[in-house]
Order: sequence, then C-alpha cells, then structure tokens
Amino acid sequence: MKSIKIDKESIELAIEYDILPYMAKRYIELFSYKGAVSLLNAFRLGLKRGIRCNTLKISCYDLLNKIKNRIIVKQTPWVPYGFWVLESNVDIGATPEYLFGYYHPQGIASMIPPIILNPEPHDKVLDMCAAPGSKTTQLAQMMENKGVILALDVDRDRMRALRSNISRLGIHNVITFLLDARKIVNVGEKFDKVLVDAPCTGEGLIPLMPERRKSRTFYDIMVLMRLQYELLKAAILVTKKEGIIVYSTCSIAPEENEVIIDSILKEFKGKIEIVDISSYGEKGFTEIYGLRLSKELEFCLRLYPHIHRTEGFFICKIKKKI
Amino acid sequence: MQDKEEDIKNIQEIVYEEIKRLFGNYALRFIVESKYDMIVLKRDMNLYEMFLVSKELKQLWLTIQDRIKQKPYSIGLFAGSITKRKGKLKLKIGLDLMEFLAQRLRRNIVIVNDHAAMLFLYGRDIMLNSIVDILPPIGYLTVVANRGLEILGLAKLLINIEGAINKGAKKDVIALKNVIDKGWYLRKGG
Repeated sequence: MKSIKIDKESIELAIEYDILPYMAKRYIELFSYKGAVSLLNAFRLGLKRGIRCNTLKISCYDLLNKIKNRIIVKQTPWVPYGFWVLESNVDIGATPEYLFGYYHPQGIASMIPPIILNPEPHDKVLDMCAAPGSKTTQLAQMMENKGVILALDVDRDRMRALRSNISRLGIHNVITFLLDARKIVNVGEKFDKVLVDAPCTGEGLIPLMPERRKSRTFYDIMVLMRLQYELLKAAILVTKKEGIIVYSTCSIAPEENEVIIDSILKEFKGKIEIVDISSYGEKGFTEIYGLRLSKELEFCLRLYPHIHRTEGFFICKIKKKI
Repeated sequence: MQDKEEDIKNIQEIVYEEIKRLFGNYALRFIVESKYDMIVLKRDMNLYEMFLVSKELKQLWLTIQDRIKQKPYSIGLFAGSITKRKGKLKLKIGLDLMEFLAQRLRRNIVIVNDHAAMLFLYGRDIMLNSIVDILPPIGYLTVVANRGLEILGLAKLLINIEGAINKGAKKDVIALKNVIDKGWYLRKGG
C-alpha cells in the first residue's frame, strides 16, 4: 500500500488534539487549518445527547410534561419529535418513561436519515444495517406501525438490542433477519424505500466516543469502502422504479461518503439521480484532495459538530429513475 | 428446521386458548377483526416462538421464506414461547402480547400504588395492600399497571384478589408474583 506523506503542521495538530496524523492532514485539506481546529475543539467539547419522542405511545407534549422535573430538553430544528437534552439529573437510559417506550435516546443527526427517506404508512421499506434499531424504530414510528420494514444486520449481539428496542417501543411492523444485507439481491424482492446506514469508521461520533480518535486507521477506511459500495449497490438493485434510497454514515471522511456515491453514479449512469437535500446543512464535496467528483454531490448533506452541534454525519438521497 | 403443519396448528390453538382464558372470547374476536394472524417459529427441538403479525407482514414472510433460507430473528409482535420438556408443553405468554391486549381491551389489569410500581420495575412482588384497583376479569396471569395505566409487567396471582379484598384479608400478604417487568429492558434487554 502507498504510504501517506504527513507534513509537520498535521503532525503538530495531531499531537495537540491527540488524534492520528492522517486524520489531522485530512481535516486541514478539507476544512483549512482554521476549520480543522474548530472541528477538533468541538470533538473535545462533546455533544448534547438527544432523545426521540415515540409518538406511537405518547404525545410529545405529554412526554415533556412527565419528564420536566428531571430532564430539560430543547426541540431540534430538523425533527419535530427530536429533542436535545440540555440538563438531566437522571440517566436518560434508565427512567420509567424509557422503560415504557415513551422515548428513545438517539443522536439528533441520526434522526435525519429516516426523515429524508420519509416512508409512508403502507410502504415496503428495507433497512439494510438496522441494529440496534434507532432508525428502524423511527421509520416504524413515521409509518404509524403500518406497512412493512425488513430489517437486516449481521451482528448477533446488536440484533438482541434491536429486538429489545422493537419490543420496548411497541413496534409491530418489522421483520428482522440476521443476514448480510448484500445478500438481499438473491431474495428477489423490491422495495419502495431503502435505508443504507452503512458501517463506517464513525469519525463523526468522536465528540460522544473520544476513544474513536485513535481506534480507526486509514486501512479501516479502505476496508469499509468496499463494503459500503457493495451495500449501496445492492440497495439500488432492490429498489423499485421511482423508489428512494438514503445512504448515510456517521463518518465525515469523504472516502466513505462522496467517493462511494461518485462511484455508484458512474456505475448506474442515467439510472439514478441525487435529490437535493443540502438545505438541511452543508453541501457535499465535489472536489477532494485535488480529485474532481460529480457536480451532483453538492446535493448531499453534511452535518458537523462544530457547525450544527450534532454528530458528524453524511446523508445522500438517491432516486432510482428506471 | 422443518416445522410440521400439525405441530404449528396445535401450538396456535394452545396460545389462542390461553388468550381466551386470560381475556375472554372477545379477545380472539378482536385479534381476527384487527386482521392479525399468528406465526409459529421452531427455534430448536424443544423451543417454539410465537408472533402476532399483520397481513402485510405475513405476506412478506410467505413470499421470501423459500429464498431467504432462514427464519426471522423476530417478526411483528412477540406473543410468547413454548418449551417442550419430557413430552409436555410449557407456554410462556409474552409481555408484548399481554400489553397489547390489556391496553386495548381494558381487562385483566391490576393497578398498584406508586411505591409498589417502582419496586415492581426492580423485580419485586406485589403486596395485597399495594393494589389500588383492578380491571376484571383477573386471570391467573395478569398485567400490572400503575395509576396512569402504564403497563409495568406481568405477575402470577397467588391469592384471589377480589375475594381477599372483600373478606378483609391480611393486607401484608404477597398477592402477585413478578413474572416479568419492564426493568428487564435494562437488566437483560441488550
């Protein structure tokens, strides 16, 4: 493998913020030195946690009334039933309201891919990397527990969490399989809407999980890129004509995002198009490290801890034309 | 694992009988009218799991089952499990199904005071003097709820509650034994 040359400025930044040098180099290239520092400061500051009110079980008004003496929240601009936790004198994952399934602890940015997919109550939806089920159960909530969701994942432990969340949140319209989602093409079923929340290095989660500053290497990105590409390709193949695919990751690395979409656009030229969702946040990159990518990529959406006060996220909405 | 049609029908029958026993005939009519069906999945030689599913969900499962070459990890609403031991079948009705039926039918619910509700979520039993109301008929297995009718879990009846209250029985006896409570989601839910 070709080695990456790291300059002195990147190494100094990496040492100062305790991250891997290749990450510092990329952040400077992508956001300029000032932007990189701002991002890295946001990594240090951490993030406010989020909760999603489960409107299948309770109205948000009633939920907020119930928890107001223990958990202070603020509504998010993107999701009507999504709230930032400003203050809490209890563990939000262990209250009676949590046990009753009235809310689900969920990052604010992670609520946006289902909003973009926008499933209707009688749709047939595929969730390709579903466990532990935050987005699956949000999709079910948006579908009013109607229609069907086929939820797949390969991790047995996380599947247990998925099943537990489905039960706690009172979801009835999901069928789950312990299955590599790339194999869905062999099942011969077509879907109205498909969510590919792909496995990723999770760089966008560093404010919440500081250990990720050093736990993923550039080699991990290379390995994941292949999986991400294959998952998205399978998603497009099993989507109905005029159907919608949403690709998302909690990584801010362009290699896991724009580069994947760019390759898919080339492979499915004329058969798919990117739908513009960039007004939710920052536009996707159309040029990285001197490499020109499709102009359409500016329609994708990027969210950052230092700008939007959310986890770092990439979301792209794709329409299958034929 | 091949599921025998006869076994499946037998298990469905056992579950429906149990639902009738706990909530009355009306519960079965409610399930049919709501267009729900029951799916039985054989997990191993001695374990079956049952799920209540919508017509659309069942249709999807029937369409893909031959091609996907495995059984669902879960589907729809968990209705319970049956274990086979020494030729005998032991049914465990699921909390999800009990909650679903109790909330919609407003039957077979024991309502407890706030203190008992909190303790029940930690796995404790219910004392007779903690019971503030009941929504009859109460089965041998009943749903436990707090004053806001929020479901806390399932419990087994140890005494005849209605009779005990009317006869002025000793109040500090254990009336309900905790079978499963929603604290389970923290303790074992994953």
